[in-house]
Amino acid sequence: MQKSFIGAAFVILFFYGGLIVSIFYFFDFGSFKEAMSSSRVLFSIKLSLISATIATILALLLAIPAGYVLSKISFRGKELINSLLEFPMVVSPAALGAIILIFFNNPFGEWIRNNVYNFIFSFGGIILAQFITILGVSVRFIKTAFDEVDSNLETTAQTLGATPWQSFYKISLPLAKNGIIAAAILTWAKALGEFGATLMIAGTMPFKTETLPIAIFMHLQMADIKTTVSLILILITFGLGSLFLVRWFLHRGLK
Amino acid sequence: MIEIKNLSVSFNKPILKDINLTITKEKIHAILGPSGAGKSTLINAILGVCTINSGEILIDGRNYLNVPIYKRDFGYVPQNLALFPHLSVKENILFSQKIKKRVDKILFDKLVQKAQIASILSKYPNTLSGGQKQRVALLRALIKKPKLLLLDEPFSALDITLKKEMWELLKELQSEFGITTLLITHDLDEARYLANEASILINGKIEQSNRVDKIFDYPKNIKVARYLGFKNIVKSKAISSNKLYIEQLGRSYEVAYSLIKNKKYNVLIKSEAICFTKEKNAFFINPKVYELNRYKEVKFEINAIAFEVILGKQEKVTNYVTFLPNNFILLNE
Repeated sequence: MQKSFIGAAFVILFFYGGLIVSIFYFFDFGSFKEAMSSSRVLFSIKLSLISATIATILALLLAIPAGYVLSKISFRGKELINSLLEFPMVVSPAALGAIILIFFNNPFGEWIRNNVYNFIFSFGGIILAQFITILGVSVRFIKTAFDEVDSNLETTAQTLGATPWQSFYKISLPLAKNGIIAAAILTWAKALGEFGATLMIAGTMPFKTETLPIAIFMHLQMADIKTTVSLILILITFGLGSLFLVRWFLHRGLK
Repeated sequence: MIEIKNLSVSFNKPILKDINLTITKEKIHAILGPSGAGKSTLINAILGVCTINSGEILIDGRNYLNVPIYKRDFGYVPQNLALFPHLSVKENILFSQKIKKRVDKILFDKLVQKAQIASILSKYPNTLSGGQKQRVALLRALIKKPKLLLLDEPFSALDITLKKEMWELLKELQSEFGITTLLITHDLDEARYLANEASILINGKIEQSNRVDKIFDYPKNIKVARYLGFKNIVKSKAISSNKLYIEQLGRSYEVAYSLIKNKKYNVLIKSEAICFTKEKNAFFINPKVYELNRYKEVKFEINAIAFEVILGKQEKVTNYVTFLPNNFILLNE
């Protein structure tokens, strides 16, 4: 039994590994160098890195307190919020983007567009699309990180005179730190690869809203396979690099 | 003095029922009770981490019920010790003083020396032995000289040798600093060794509260007697104001208590009330003797009633037994 199960695990390696390796069939170093010096591609990379970083910071600002209360405190509506965290995962990103688009066409959404910020076809739209896509998963990861921290530690800290706020940042936060960093990297990688919702809200405008995944889509549409492969490789490098970093942080936490 | 008055806690069903407790200043008060009796809930209620349905927690007359945990000035050592894993031993011990931004170096040095942990101050909790962890947790709670020290079965995971070392350390530090202590335990020896007073908590209700020796010598009712491990409980009826008839033994005994004629009484016949003899008018028995550590456990039956006696190693066991009614204890239901 063990052998066949190990076999199943290796199928995963062959499956994903095979897909990655197959890209190299169309890989051409000259085209890669050309892509890397193209201002349009560089803009896409820069836009993706900046928007994913901002979206991740915004998501963390909400996810850290939300993940903490969902993990440690009982309150009315907790179960409902817990179930809604998976909403972006069960609804396709394109549908999620469409929902946001529809929202900005209702009277309240229009008021926001006219008086606060116009998220449609703009840089803010990319961040909003990425933020909404990663928020749920970010809260879920951070909640798990806080779940690992024994609640008795905070109670004990409070008996030693720490206020609830002090017991949070002196005890729970440092103990959940590695989990939070891992969550931040994973959600950042997810934001970087976000496509469907960004496409719906921000569109596909070169030098304006063309993120890396959108650039891949655009170049593939133009049958420019070599540039597409180069862009995919850049995205894979960021993605796999993030995964290795996550593993390193979690492993360090275990130590 | 610390008083807990009419304290009730329920989670779907009642957990603590109308608890009344007085803890004398600078003494150790043990809460004894079987698993699931509500001991930890009681400590959580006093700490302020669970919702109380009704009641008061008074320290020197001030009600602490609406005081937040961090202002209650209690020391707490939970069962799992809850040492902060990311802080060194020194940082753990000084946690409360650093929060208050007042580090008392002299007191810290004194405690460290008494607990003999100077060599581990820079270590982290995951590298410490069980006994070292206990010392750190105890010092961390004591250094703030709390109004009330709450110990929730902190020594339950230790072996007997370490446990005794910790008992001695606790007793020494507690008496030196005069810290009022509430000790939750299910270990009768621990309560006997450490506590000045005790309360027996069974099914969320305080069944008896008194000096420790009084409780062990004079359990109030059947529940307490059974919890304390007493076995020989028989039913009897008063046939006069000072005479009990034990039907199962078919004999009457004159007792020192004043009785209500015809009232039924439960009688606890403690080991001291059982006397092995050679007199032929006594009860004939077939004793089974079991060797315990420094004691003998003797089991026998009279008219199908099982009796158990703990005797000193030197005491002799014979085939005849009599009962000494001046050592009978009357128990409520």
